[in-house]
Amino acid sequence: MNRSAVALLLLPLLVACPAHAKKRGKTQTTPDFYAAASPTIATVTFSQEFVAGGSTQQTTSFTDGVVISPDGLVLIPGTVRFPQSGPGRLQSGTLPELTSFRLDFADGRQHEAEVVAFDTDLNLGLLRITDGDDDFPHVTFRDGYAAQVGDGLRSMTLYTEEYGRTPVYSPLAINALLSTPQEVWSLSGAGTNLLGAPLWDGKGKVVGVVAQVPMSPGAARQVRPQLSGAVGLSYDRFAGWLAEAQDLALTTAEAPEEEEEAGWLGIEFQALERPLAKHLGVSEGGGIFVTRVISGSPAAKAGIEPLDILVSLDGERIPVNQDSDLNKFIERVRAGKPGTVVRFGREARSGATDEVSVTLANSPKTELQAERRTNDDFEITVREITLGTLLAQRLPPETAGVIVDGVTGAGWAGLAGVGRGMIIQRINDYDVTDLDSFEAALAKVTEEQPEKVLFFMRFRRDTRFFVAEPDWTELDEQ
Amino acid sequence: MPQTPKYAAVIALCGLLLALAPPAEAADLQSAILKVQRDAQTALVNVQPVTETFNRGERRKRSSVGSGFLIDLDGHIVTNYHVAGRAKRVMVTLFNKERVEAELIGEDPSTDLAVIRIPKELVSEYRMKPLSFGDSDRLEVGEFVMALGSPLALARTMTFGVVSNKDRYLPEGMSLPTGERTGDFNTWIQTDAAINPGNSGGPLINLAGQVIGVNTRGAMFADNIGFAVPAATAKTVAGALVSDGEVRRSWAGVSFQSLQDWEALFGMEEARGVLVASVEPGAPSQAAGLQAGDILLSYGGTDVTARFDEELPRLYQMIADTPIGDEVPLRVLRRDGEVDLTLTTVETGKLSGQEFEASDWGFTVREITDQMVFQYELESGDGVLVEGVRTGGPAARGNLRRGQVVVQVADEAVTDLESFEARYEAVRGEGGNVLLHVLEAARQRYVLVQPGDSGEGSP
Repeated sequence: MNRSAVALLLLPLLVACPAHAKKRGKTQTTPDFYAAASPTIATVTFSQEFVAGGSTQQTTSFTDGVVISPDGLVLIPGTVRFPQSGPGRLQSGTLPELTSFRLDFADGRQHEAEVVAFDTDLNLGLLRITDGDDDFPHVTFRDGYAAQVGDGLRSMTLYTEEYGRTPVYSPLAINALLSTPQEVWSLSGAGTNLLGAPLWDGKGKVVGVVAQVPMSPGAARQVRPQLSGAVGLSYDRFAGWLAEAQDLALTTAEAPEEEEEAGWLGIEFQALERPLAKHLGVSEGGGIFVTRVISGSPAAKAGIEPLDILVSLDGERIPVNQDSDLNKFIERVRAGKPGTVVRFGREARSGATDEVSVTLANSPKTELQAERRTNDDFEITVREITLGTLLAQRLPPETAGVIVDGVTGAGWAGLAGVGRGMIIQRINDYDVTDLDSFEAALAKVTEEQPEKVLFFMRFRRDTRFFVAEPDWTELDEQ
Repeated sequence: MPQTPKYAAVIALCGLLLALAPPAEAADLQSAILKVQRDAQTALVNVQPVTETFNRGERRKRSSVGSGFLIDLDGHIVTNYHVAGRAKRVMVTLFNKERVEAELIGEDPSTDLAVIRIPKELVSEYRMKPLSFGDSDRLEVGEFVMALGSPLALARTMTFGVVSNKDRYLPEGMSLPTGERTGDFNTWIQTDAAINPGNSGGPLINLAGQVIGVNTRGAMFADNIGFAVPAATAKTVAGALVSDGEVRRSWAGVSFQSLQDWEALFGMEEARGVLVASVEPGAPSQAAGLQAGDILLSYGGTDVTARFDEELPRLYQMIADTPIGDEVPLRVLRRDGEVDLTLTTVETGKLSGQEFEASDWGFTVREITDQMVFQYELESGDGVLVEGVRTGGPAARGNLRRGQVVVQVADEAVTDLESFEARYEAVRGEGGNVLLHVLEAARQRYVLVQPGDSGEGSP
């Protein structure tokens, strides 16, 4: 696989596409857009703690974020998760811990937020504002946007604090389509300063974001995600993830308070909306609709299955009629102590009802809670494989290894092609099953100082070998 | 501006040299180019297909322009799959500006080639001279080449350059707009003869007037980096398309890495064989017992080796060329010595299925082929894949998403495209709400499509 990402394009000349000519709706004037969009964007300031030279240090960085729902979900670039630069190189033992997120809006509003989910492929993250009401000004997305070269898009970012957090309007244009379907765009005038900024169409709908994404169309299927510069990423490309991020938040990725236990069922679900309830012939008035049961989870053991309809919890109707009500249910479940037995009322399409008792387990570790190890010689940080990783990469529960959480591009591992999101399963002759065996393997290799070090990596179902060529003399210099 | 005089001097000097001393070689080159142009011009066509695209949940017609060239007196024309593949109708403009309708004869997404045909009477009537393929294996970097075609729809355009690289390896896993994986079976001829959108399917010709490649790709953000499918590949594929209408290939479900200088890491004295990088779960390679990390030493009794990436396409080609269903002896090297395995290949089959628009419900679906089961990591080939969902349409409002698999429509199973179409036709007339049972990764959902409750504006 080439290291340099060459974006190639097929060369038919599209002559006309009359379907695109149809235009509906009114174009928003720039002042109207500016007024409407300004309150939806915020400067996201986050603190990181890390150990350098034996002492704990804290550093603060910021990025742009955009509010995407009335209850305060905020989309941010995923790069914040894995900063490689900072004052001094990372020393052994820790990766920067994202300790807090603060949001500053142009109008002076200030809020706290926590992590919901990150996606290393898309390089996007989702935060949830924890101290707000349910009436945040937010953007709305438009799906099915058929991007064309020459389309004008609008973007917005905030000046930093020194300049009074003034919203800055940036007109951009799509100057090339970088993928098929046309979901990754080159943008004229978009620098990395716009990373994370939404891209609005002329009617005030968000059609994508400025992101860093794999450039090669096949990259998603390849072991090595190729990251390149700032590009436009279509909403269609991440809409599925965004929807899943909320699902996943329910099962794993929601960050609970440190060391606090939270009840866990091991299901993904959606709201039992009235039309669906009516069509299925089950009682209306609220409930959830199970879409997935994590194997081995409390729900699986209790016999809950996908497509089950759960209408009551401990005798009380589940008051969920639309997806925005889901939090009420999630909070109920999370509040339950692990070991508690909860009773669900289940309704079948036949009209039959029954009860199912589930013993809550403790919520599995999230990506953020996962333990991490850093190796300074290879300049790589890995973390435990979490349930979220397995689900996202569609891997079986017995998958062994550690997942790459951060890697320095020009470091020993980085130069070999090892990238974030890949799972290390073997290093030379040493099997890597967990953090300890990872450390042991690298310790052995460092002792042996071979000319080449072979990494056996997995990404989803693909596997691949990467070879590092360490310059061991660097160790003596330290 | 102070620099102007200097430039003027340089330009003048160049002009002077050219005027005073035209080298004999330049004159020869000029006449060679003119000869190629005169000989090749009648074979060149401008291809104007109308294709059906299923985009964003709607079926649309799309017109485009590409290039092509006549390869025989029967009227067969080679072009790119991404130009004429799946075309509903293909018009071509001949060298004499006459427009005629062509027929789609065969297509091969794996190499991005297609063959169309014009009536052979026209070939003789207009005295069109077919082009012949040259030997792309014996190219040299630096050889003069000309690209003929219709860049930006500017028909009958010739550009000129050299072979910049005769063996360019482009990473695996490229896919076409229609979703098929492509480019695994060949390296590419790179040229600096200008290749622009519209050149696709046109010939890359050497000074002897032979086709050495089919212009297919360009590099973005770059000047004069174009790529052509080598004649060796094009000739074989075009031959199969002309005679059988398709190219049948064997499939093993394995991916390789070149061994580079990693022999010691795999316990070898010297690099031989090729590294097995990945084995597709459920594929013939897995059934044969191949494992990631194996060194494949021989395939069907033939020694194989790939020290460099450029050698990989040939190996994939070798597997593809195996008669379908053959039992192929493999010899692999593992830590504990050499092992003999037997691979039984299966037919690759269609990379991608046909599409269908359920217009009343606002989405399009695609037939799931065996290859798609692997590509999309599906549980099975049952059902139909949601290819697009129309914005604001009934399915979009019910939260149907691209990539989901519909397995039931109104409580009856749909196993393939045909049964989906039949079910759609049977249910749509009722006009009522329709329940879809869909799968998505390990999830199952119901999607309620409510066609009556139109949230859409008037068309």
